Parts: sequence; structure tokens; C-alpha cells
Amino acid sequence: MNSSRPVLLSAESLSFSYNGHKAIDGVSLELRAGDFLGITGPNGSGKSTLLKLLTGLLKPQEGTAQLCGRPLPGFSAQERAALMGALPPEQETLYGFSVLETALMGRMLAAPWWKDADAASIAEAENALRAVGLGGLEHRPLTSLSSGERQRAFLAQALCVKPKILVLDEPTSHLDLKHSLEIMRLLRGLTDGGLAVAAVLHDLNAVAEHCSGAILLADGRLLSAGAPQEALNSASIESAYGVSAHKGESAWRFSLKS
Amino acid sequence: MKLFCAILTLMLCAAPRASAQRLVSLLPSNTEILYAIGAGPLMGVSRFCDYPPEASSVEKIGDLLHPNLERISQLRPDIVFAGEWKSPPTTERIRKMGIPVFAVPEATSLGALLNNITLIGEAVGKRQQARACAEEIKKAVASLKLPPETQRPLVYVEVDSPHWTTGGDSYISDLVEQAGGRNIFAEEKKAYFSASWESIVAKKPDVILVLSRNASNLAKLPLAEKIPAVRAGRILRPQNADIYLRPSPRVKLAILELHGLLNGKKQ
Amino acid sequence: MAKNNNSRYALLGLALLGACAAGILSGPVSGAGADILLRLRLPRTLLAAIAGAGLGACGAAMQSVLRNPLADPYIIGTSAGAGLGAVLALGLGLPNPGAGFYAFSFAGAFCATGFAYFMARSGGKTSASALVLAGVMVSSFCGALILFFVIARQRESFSALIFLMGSINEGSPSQLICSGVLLAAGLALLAPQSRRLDALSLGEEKAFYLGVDTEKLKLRILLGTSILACAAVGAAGTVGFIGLAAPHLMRAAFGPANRRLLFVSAAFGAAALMALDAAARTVLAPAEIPAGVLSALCGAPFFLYLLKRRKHEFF
Repeated sequence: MNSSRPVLLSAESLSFSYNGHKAIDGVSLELRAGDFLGITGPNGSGKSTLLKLLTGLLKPQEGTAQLCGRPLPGFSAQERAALMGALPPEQETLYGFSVLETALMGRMLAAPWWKDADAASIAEAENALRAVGLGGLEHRPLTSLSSGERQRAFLAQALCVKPKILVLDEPTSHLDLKHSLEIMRLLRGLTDGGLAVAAVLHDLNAVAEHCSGAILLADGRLLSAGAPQEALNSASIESAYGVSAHKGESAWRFSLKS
Repeated sequence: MKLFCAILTLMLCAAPRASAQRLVSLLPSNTEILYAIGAGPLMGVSRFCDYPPEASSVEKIGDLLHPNLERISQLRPDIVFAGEWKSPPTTERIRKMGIPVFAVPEATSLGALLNNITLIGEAVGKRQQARACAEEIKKAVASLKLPPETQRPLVYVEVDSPHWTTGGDSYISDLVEQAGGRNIFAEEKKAYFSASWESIVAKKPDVILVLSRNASNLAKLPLAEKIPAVRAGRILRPQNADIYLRPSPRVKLAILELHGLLNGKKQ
Repeated sequence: MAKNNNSRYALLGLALLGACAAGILSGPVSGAGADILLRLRLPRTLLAAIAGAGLGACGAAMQSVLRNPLADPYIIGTSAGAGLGAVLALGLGLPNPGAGFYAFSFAGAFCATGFAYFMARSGGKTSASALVLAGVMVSSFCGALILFFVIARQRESFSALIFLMGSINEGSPSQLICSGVLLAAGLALLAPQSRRLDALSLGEEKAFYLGVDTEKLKLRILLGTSILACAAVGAAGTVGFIGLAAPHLMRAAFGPANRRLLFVSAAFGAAALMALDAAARTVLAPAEIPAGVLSALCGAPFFLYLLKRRKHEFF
């Protein structure tokens, strides 16, 4: 059943060093259509670096990354962006574009500069905004939003382009419980529709709950990979994080009401 | 005997100083005046002092704004001649070293210049020579035949480019008037200022006196051809602009030369 | 949103016309004839408009590409380079205004900016902070050389000072054409990039992920801004503040989208400089204050007032 879904993003023995320190060492992975991959690991284990290698922002010193079967460097910026969207971790925003403008941005890049957005694009953007829970905030400037709302606005921006793959660096880090759950549910729903998602997530429970696959990084190396129940077990978590882990009965479990 | 010595000492101290004084001048204009009234040679001059030729070989001790205080104190001058304008810090600093400073007032007219010559003459005990010098200049200027006021040519003076000129309250403006010209900006109650080209064109000067030392392409500016001075080709560029710019005894040469040029003598 | 904008566009248009009228109708000579209006004031007003437009558009693009709301047209060394070119030209006896002078200040500006760009480039990438640092270095170096020149060669120092403060002269046809062409070229280079520039202004990584070739974009933008800055400097010397303030004010009124911001900043800059120049010529007539002095005088307190009023929603 798995093998019938096409491999959209793959990495073969990626290695990358900063200033003599090996941030990523021989990491391989495969992302198929419909996968929801959770990338976890302690701070400094190379998660963000891995994402940057997967999206082409960084070039690996060893190994290759492939997008839809072709080597990543062979893609032009526009070709790549049409297939793969990505979100860096949320940062301060300087300029007050409206939420709608922001959502439209990716889509309108190819349009002639003097043309306003057409009705179809606006409709798409509004859909995306509703999906991330920002419906009604279309005309608010980015600078007036909370960091969580901004994060969702940029997610809408990435979704609006309708890519095949979405690579996210901590998409829920600024979100509260409810919004976090909503986003995870949204992403799960999109992967059900064929989107491939790879996301760096800190919450191991969320990974276990929503992701179809997980990888655990430690010191730039792949410690374990596979279905969340297999990849994230007591032994691997203890090894990676240096804390003892066991599944408890008394922990809270959260889910959305509707 | 003791009384005799005391009185002799007192008399020597009180007697007018002999001409072999130790003098330092920080302004070229004062240097020229000092040499003209016979108070030379000087011990130290500014780096801009180039006239008379003897002054060029005198030791250079900086200038008015940045005097070489060490060297000046080493020279132990009797008087240092500075200028009143811009100079308070310099004057104070030299005075603090215990050296007498004579701050010559800025000459804003020919009359003020003549007054300065007299003052400087008194300071160095050359009263006679100073008076003679001043008289000579006065006589030369008085002897000029000037047409009636309304027939005198209108003059635009370009002291520095672009369009740095003079109002009525300046030495150069007075010089022009004494030579028989009318400064187009004579009604402005200021010394030097930057004029707009439009005003210059509107005033229609008959003569343009260019004292700036770099090339000026006034004739090529828009509407320049409407200016009588440009049409008639009367753009005067004196060989030696210093005699116009420096309030010194050479003002006589400047006024005579300008008078000639204004009356149509070829340069 | 569009309704608001229409009235604001109308206001901007009115300001532009008003400033133009002020430029042509006011001056030291009251009751001036057609001669003065057409051959002195009109070219000068046009020159002020071109310079102001160049500064406004350039400032807007700089603030986007460097992600720095304090960026102005001169931040990567442009004005210092232009000043150095200008004093060199004066030292060689080339008067201002003149073709040789224009060429020197243009070359100085362009070379200084190019030098800063190459200094900032490392590993094929130029980060915004590296560009700003390189610009500061180039500016201080050129600035020192300019000061040295002004002290050592006093005879041209007044001309140099006037240029450095920023002032507009009566304008020859060739000056108008040169600066006008450069202004058009700069805008033509920048306008098509405006959407990509928007993306870049939100973050380099974000822009990359949206499919923007960030290094190529930066090079294009810097080329365009250099051309605009050179057009402005050739017309009016290094006038400060307009390139910094115009984009701020226009962003507050029209939003940060560059495809609008570039042009309204240009329009506002043009209006501002035309008005300032008209005042510069008239206030102390027949004396003339360099327009750059007025722009600094008016700009600083106005900016302070804006800062006090809108603490958070500035950008």
C-alpha cells in the first residue's frame, strides 16, 4: 500500500558542517505523498539544518536531496517553490502587509506587477486563511497580530500556492493549545488529501498523536525512524534527550471539540 | 648710584621700543601692513603669507585657526598680531602663554583698513610711517575721477564660486564702490552670502568681477546672455585676486586697477 | 481600503501640483517675467522633482531590500562616493554644474556602492547586515577623504560644501535629460521586482521558500537603487532626509506593497524637494539656502513628532 504512493522528497546520506562542526551526518529519508513526518530531537541536533538541506537553502557537502525524482539543485527557484513550500520558525516582522496580502504573496509572485489580485486568487487566499483560523482578519496588518496569528498567516501563504510538499520548522511553537490542535488537524487533513508534510515538532505527544512517521535526530545523526510508535520509544527518547521516558496513565490528553 | 641705575632702568623700560622687535603675524593682511610700514623683518608668519617676497622666507608658524603655539612661545615674540574675527580661542590661548596679542579688528571698509594701519603703526612704534602709508592710499583713491552715481557700472562680485558674493557691509563692497562701481547687492545689510542666480540675472550687472580662484562658467548658465556684463564680455578676472581680497596697503593697486577696468581699459 | 486610497492619491496629486506651482511661481524676484519662469525656475523645479523622486523611490527600495526602516539612499556608501567624486572633479577644475562634474559624482557614487557590495559579498551571498556594515565603512573612508580635501584645498571648499549639503542649480537641458533618463531607468529596473521585493522584505528565508532567487534579486535591486541615487545626486547633490522620510510617510498612508510604495514615495519626494527648493530660494532672498539644509531642518522635528505619535503601528 505504501509503495504505491510516489516519493516526493528524498534525501540520501546528507552531511553538512558549519565551521568544522558536523551539524548533519549521513541522514537519509523518504517522504511520500500523504506522509506526515514529524522530525524531533533535542536542541542542536540539526533539525533546522536538515530542513534547510531538504528545501535547498543549504547545499550538502555530501549526499543528495531529490525533489519528485530530480536532484534538488537542478530546479529553478520558481519550479521548486511550485512543488515545495516551506516555513522558517516565526520571527519578528517589520512591515505591515495585510493578512490577505500576505496570504496572496506567494501566489501573486508570478503575476505582472501592475495587476491587482484577481477574484480567483483572492478566493483561494480567503479559503486558506479560514483553514488556518484567520477568517475575518484579512485586512489587519501583520504587525498588529500576535506571533501565533502571524505564524498561521504565513502557513496560509504557503498553502495558497498549493504545493505538493510542505516543510515546516516549528509550525506550532507560538500557538496555544487550541490553535495547535487545529493546525495539526489541518495538516493531517491535507496529508489525507495527498500533501506530504515534514515538520520539526518539539511535542513528542503531538508527533505520536498526529504524524504518520517520525524521525529522531541526535547530534546530527538519525537515531531512529519509522512509525511514531516504533521510532519514539523509551530507549530512543532516553538516548536522544537524556531523560527517562515512559508512557504514563495520568497525563492530559487533548482533542478538539468539533 | 643706585638711584641713577633705577631711573636709567625705568627710562629704558618706558622708552618707545626699538624697531628690532620680535613680531609674529598670523594673518597675511597684517603681514603686508607690517612690512609696508617698515616693521619687518618678522620672526614668524602664517603659512598663507606670501607678500612681500621677504615674508615667504620667514618661518611659518601655522595660521590663525591652528597656530603652532609651541613654536610661537619658543620665539618669545613681543607682539603677536591676530585678527578679531574667528579668533577668540587663538587670542586667548596665546595670551594665556603670557605673550601679548594684538587682535586687529576686521576691516569692513576702506576707512576701517586705514584705521587698522594706524593702530598697527602705534603698536609697533611706527606711527609716522603708518600715517604716511594711509595718506598715500587716501590720496590715490581721492584722485580718481568717478562719474555721477547713476552712471557708474553695476558690478556683481563673485568672491567664491558658485555665487558667493558680498552685501553692502563688507570690505570688498566698499572697494568696488571706491573704484567707481555699484555693488548690485549693496542694499543687503550683510557681509557675505550665497546669492541665487535668479537675483543676479534680475539685477542686470554691467560688469562681473570674478575673484574666485577656480574656473567659473557663468557665461554658460541659463539666461546668462540676458546679463549686460555677459553680452558685452565684461567678465573681469584680475591676475592677482589677493590684492582685492586682503585688506592691506595693496588695496591701492586693486582700486586703481578696478577703476581702469570699469572705465574700459583692457586687462 | 480602496476608497481611502483614492482620496489619498488625490491629496498626493494635489501636493505634487502645488509644489510644482510653488517652484515656478515663487522666487527671489517678484513679478518675474516669462523668461525667468521658463528658463530658470521651470528647469530648476523639474530638476528638484527628478531628484526628489529618485530619492523617494530609492529609499523605499532600500528599506525593503535591507529590511531596515532606517535605511536611506546613502546607506551603502552612495553619497560619500558621490561627494568624493565631486571634490575630485572640483580639484581638477571641473565646475559645477558641468558635464565633467556630473560624470565624476556619478562614477564616485556608483563605484562606492559597487565596492561596498563586493566587500559585503561572501560565499556568493550578501546579507543585509553585511551590506550596511560595508556601507558604513565606505562612507567613513570617503568622508575622511572629503574632509581632508576641504581642509587642504580651500579654494574649492565652498563649491564642495554646497554640493555635500545638497542644493539645486538652475539646470541645463543635458542635466535634466541625464537625470531624467536615469530616474526612468532605475524605476524600470525596480518596478517589475516589486512583488519579489515585498517577499524579501518579510525575510530572506521566507522569500527563498516562496521561489525568489534572493541573490539575483538583491543585485538587481541594488543596481536599480544605485541608478536612482546617482540620478538624484547628479541633479541636487547629496540632499538628506527625503530618502528616509518619504517612504515612511507613504508606507503609513498607502501600505508597504512596493508596487505602490515605489511610485508614491517618488511622488512625495518630488513634491517635498520642489517645495523645499522654492522655500530655499525665497525665504532669505536674494540669498539662497542650500535645499539640503532645509530638508534636514524640517525633517528632523517632523520625524520626531511622528515617532511620538505612532509608537507601534509605524511600519
